[in-house]
Amino acid sequence: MSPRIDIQRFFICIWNDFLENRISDRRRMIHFFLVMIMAVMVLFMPEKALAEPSVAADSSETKKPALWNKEVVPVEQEPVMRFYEALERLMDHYGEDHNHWPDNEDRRLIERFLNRKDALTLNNCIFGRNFLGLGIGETAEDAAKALREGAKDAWGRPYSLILAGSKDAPKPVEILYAIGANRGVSLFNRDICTKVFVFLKADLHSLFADIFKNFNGMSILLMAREVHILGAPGSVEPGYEEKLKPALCAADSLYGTVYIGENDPVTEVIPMSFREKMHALFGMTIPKFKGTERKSDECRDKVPPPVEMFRLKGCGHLIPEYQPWIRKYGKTMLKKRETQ
Amino acid sequence: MKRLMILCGFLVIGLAGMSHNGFAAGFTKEAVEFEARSLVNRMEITRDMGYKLKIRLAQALNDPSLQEIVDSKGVGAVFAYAAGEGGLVLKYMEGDGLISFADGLKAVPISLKSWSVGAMIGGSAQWGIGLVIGPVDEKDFGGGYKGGTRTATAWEAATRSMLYVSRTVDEQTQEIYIITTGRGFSAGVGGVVMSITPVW
Repeated sequence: MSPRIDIQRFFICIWNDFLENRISDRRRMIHFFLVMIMAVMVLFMPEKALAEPSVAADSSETKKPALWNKEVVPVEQEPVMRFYEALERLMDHYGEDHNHWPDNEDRRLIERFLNRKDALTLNNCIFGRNFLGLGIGETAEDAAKALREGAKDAWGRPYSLILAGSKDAPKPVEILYAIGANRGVSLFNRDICTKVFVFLKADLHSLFADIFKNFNGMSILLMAREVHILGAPGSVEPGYEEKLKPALCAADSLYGTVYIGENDPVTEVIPMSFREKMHALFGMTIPKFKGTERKSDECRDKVPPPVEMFRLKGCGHLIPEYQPWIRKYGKTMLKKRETQ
Repeated sequence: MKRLMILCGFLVIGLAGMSHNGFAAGFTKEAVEFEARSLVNRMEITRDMGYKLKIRLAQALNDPSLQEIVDSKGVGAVFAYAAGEGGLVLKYMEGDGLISFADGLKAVPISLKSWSVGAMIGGSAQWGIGLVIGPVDEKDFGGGYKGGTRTATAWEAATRSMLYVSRTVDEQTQEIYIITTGRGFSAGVGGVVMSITPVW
């Protein structure tokens, strides 16, 4: 029941008392005006002030690293922080399958957060701790195989879900549509569109990182407390971190990290749209299609998370080449006991 | 004095009640968008199609012609559906969806069928969001509707795919605007005959 209805009932009770002369005549006038003032205050009180209190983080369960400290996290990010804390507690106690979560405050907090975000329900989402998105050329079968073999991240924590960024090959019709609609070739794995992925940590390699940058919050939704970008196309380009921020805002991330391998040629491949290519090669100007440009309003009511960039000496494109450097320079909020 | 105080009291309690109940005339524009997203999510329509519908609905609701209709008559119900289409010239569409009434049931199932004239290559999948204009009683909703594609408005140009159907019962016209998106090639040019059946 809404707090406003509770307050209404409270007024009605007092009013009944008043009408039935249960309150002495001397005090009736004072009582009346006090009640009226309170009623007017409640009427003009913002909804937020009447909302149910959020669950406080249980500090005994989680020892927070520096970035997880409330003093470091901006006030605007606190609901996001509480969301991921509640998610972590639920997964620690009841596992990653939301069907096993009891109807407690943490679950309700997550339900409220997802509902406010995009009218989402728990059934729309896949939850987990550690996510890996693979790049071009690695198919769904490769992803399933890596998961079966217990692939681990740079800190030795096992991945709970690995998804392929690409499929074997796009169909000719899809290539024509991609060119026509100026959206880039639709190489990405359609499995990514079927659900919303809610994770504590996401490592995104190569093409998957590009998909995340271009489409997160639009045709795909991946939410993660921390996002690590490895060998992404065009990541050497100045201002790459700014271009990443709408996707990070849509992901409700608390921070993002971009790793650029010195010997990774993919990071220097700056993706160009068909229009840009035609203009660069032949000087032709092709008109823009409606609705094909990203509307970067994901950060409108949010504080974009900080993005750190690391240039890694002698590092190539493959994930195992990146991992020692990530371990050396990077940081994670994911708990270590998850490796056990 | 006592009468005045009683009057003031009822006024304040009444105002509090009104402020809680919100939109008496149906869904507001924001509520339409939220309810549509909620229905699309409940039906587990893929994110890419859901996003297209969301953008097209936002564009439609920002169009002055629809804004005027929504402001003056209100939106009594919102529904979302997923359907399959077939046929070469005479197209047949059949699908299922969910509907929410502003002052009634929420996310209850409906089924839709329609015949229309249009060109088509192969089969086609269609997803849509419908806005039922004006107050609507859940007991009276459903039946046969007639209409066609909306043309010659800025809204149609922005959304590209939009249907308008209506039916008249007891001298009252029930209008439905449907924003659609699809996969595969399908183009409607003529009239549409649509049947919406409540399944609750």
